[in-house]
Amino acid sequence: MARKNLAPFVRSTDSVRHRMLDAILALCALFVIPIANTGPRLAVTAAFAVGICLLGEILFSLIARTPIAVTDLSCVVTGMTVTLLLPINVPQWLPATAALFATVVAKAPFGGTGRTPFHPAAAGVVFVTVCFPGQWMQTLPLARFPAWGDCVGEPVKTGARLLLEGLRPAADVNALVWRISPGAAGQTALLVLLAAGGYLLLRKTAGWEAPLCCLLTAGLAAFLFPRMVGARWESVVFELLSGTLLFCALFLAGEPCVSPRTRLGRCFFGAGVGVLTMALRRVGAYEEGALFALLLCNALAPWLDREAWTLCSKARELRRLPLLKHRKSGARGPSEPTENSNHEEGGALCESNASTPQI
Amino acid sequence: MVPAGRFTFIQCRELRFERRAPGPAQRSVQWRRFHFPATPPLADKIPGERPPRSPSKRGMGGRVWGNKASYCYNIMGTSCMQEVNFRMYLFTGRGVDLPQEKNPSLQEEIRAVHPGPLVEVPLYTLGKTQLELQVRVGETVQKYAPLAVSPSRNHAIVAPCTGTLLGVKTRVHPLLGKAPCAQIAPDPQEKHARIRSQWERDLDFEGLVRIAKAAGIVDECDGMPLYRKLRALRTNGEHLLVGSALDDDPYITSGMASLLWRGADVAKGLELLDLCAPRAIRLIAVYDPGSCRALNALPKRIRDTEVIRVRGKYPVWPALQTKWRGQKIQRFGVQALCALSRAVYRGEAMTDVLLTVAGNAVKRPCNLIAPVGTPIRRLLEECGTREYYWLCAGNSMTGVSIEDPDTPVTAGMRGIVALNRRPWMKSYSCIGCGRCIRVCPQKLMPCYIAQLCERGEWEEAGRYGAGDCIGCGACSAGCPSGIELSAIVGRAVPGRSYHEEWGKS
Repeated sequence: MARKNLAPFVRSTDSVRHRMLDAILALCALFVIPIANTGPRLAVTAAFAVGICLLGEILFSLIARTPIAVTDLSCVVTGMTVTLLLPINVPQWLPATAALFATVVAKAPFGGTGRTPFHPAAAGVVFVTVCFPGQWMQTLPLARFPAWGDCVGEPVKTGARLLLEGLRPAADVNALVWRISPGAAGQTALLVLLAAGGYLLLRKTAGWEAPLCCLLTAGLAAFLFPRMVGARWESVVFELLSGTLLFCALFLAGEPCVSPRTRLGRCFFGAGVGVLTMALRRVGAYEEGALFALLLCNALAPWLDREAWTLCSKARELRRLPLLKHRKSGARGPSEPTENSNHEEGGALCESNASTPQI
Repeated sequence: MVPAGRFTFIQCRELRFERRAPGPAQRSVQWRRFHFPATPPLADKIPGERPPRSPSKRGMGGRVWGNKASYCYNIMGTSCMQEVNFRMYLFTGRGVDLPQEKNPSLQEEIRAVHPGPLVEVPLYTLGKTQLELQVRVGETVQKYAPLAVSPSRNHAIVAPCTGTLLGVKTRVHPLLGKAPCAQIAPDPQEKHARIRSQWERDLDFEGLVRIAKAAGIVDECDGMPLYRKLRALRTNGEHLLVGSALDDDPYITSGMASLLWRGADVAKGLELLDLCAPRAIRLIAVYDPGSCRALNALPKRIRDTEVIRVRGKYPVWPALQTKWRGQKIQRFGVQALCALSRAVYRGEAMTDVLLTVAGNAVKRPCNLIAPVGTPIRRLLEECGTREYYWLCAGNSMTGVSIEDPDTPVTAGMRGIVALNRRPWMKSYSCIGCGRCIRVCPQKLMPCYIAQLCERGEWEEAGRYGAGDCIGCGACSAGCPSGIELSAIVGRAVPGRSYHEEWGKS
């Protein structure tokens, strides 16, 4: 593509592919402990999901006659995220269906990477949750699962399921922090999750405002309206550590494309996700509330941006008033170069080619 | 000889003008920002002596970082007690971090360059004033003699070198637009014109403006003619005047080089601004790129004007304005101030420009002094250029790319940057990372404004503050998708044209 000779001619070396590589690295860290515990099933599922994503994108590009653009590694990220949002023991066609939906329905028709209003992986997993609840909710206790094919075993209730029924989850906090538990594959040891999420935040691939506000408001809601009878602090801990809330907050809520872009907007977004998650967990039929809440808040993201910008600009107007009083007290010159004191060096261009400044 | 406008000269020590003491109401307002003690008479003040420190006063700008505070004076003896730091760190300012490559051009000596066989002086005016040529084609014109004068005798373009006038050719200049250029073949023997001068006892504001107009001084910070800025300074009355050597572009070092070359003239030029703003505080601000050894050669104080070093992200001037938000500040380029003092004290017009020739396609980047109208090809030859992909005039962030290397140098240019690297290979669509919002110094949302501009919704773009854009290019520099945000948003800014037709590659 011929690039026009337009300023600036110095750019930063950041690029979309670097950001995607960061995300892939962080997600890879979450695969280690489950594979060590249950065998290579998770890796095989992830590879399968990534392949389905790729196929879906290529097929859609061929049908829609658009150029095939898969060099930004977004399909890899989508495939891995979908795998980590579902339990390890699900039959392989479930994450594949989720990945296909994510790519062909939630991402490609909107224009591909960077143009999706809804988070593709979250949309895929929600589709699968709603359509195939039986397969999704059957979580087996962790053992060495076969790499391909169906797993057999007695289903066990996850912590989220128990909370939904108003009971205390069986696992104690130690197990939740240091070991993996039945449930979504991404809910590995807490420290690994935090480390991976922290890596993403440090590299500034994701913003810190949304995850922080999400977890804070979810914790607050869990404290104020506990599902477990009588125990508030324990309720906070178990609510935060159960289900996909933590994974969703750290990896999905900070996703740049589907969340607001202003800082204040992101804070509101995170708060919305936290509050809605807790509300859906209380009143909803599914034990999974975070992904639904995320999709609902994705719809509000542009509006949150606009409102945040309007609020901030109003605050700036109020702060500028004392300075305006200064300027109004002096007489105005014939040409008003006080505005030009804000102009950068590009003024050479606009001054000489603007229409009639007279000598 | 043709009358070239009246140059008035002044003897520095005899400068005297009226000054009023601040009234009680003004004093109470100003107490919050800076403190004026009772003005002692001129004879009692010993320059260099520090007045006693007043208690319970916050310095200008609030938080004071870095070295301990120092006071600054102006030459008239009024001590304006300000806490100004020698080093200012604007780490919390908005902007984009650019890798600085200033050391190569500062290591070389600053040298003058001969313009070569042909000099094209642009006879441009800001406006529709027709200039009349004073010299016929084929005649010899001497340096500093007027080439073209406006009918009201107010504005003159002077010849930058002695030579023969070959003709007038209309050229489309990337910075000036369509302008007739007088072609002069320079003579090796430089014979200066005798400048008719009229010695006057006192220089007043109008005289200063006349000198600035006649010398054709252009401020290199924003490309405005200096006399207009002086007039604005007089009406607005800014409190703080900054001599700006803030080269926050990665390659340009012409500000620092000007200070090293003619620092005293820069300080004298700042002192002359007392005629416009009598009680203003003066500073010279230099951008500190962080790993620059040559910065240690700069003095901390030139003729009673403090030189402060500012570290921060690109662009650094909006961050300084935000830091000193309560003050009224104005900046003037150091080359313009130097030219002003030389025009006032020596009667020289602004015919020599100090430019940085740098970039990764230049073999020996350096600062060169070239007369106005030198073709850029001559400067590149002087520095040795490899194959380049972009050649930009101005700085590499807000400059214009030049296709024709014979384009002449103009008065407000600070540098030529030749780059041979295409830093990005592919442009993606916006991923919504929000980096452009984080780096924008005016706190706009370039990604959204660009979307609206692409759709053609100009009113909506204006409502999102597109008119506040200062054109710094930080958004485009920070975008990981390689979108030309600055150019697209610039379409919505009234009065800015990006000359996209020149940019077709």
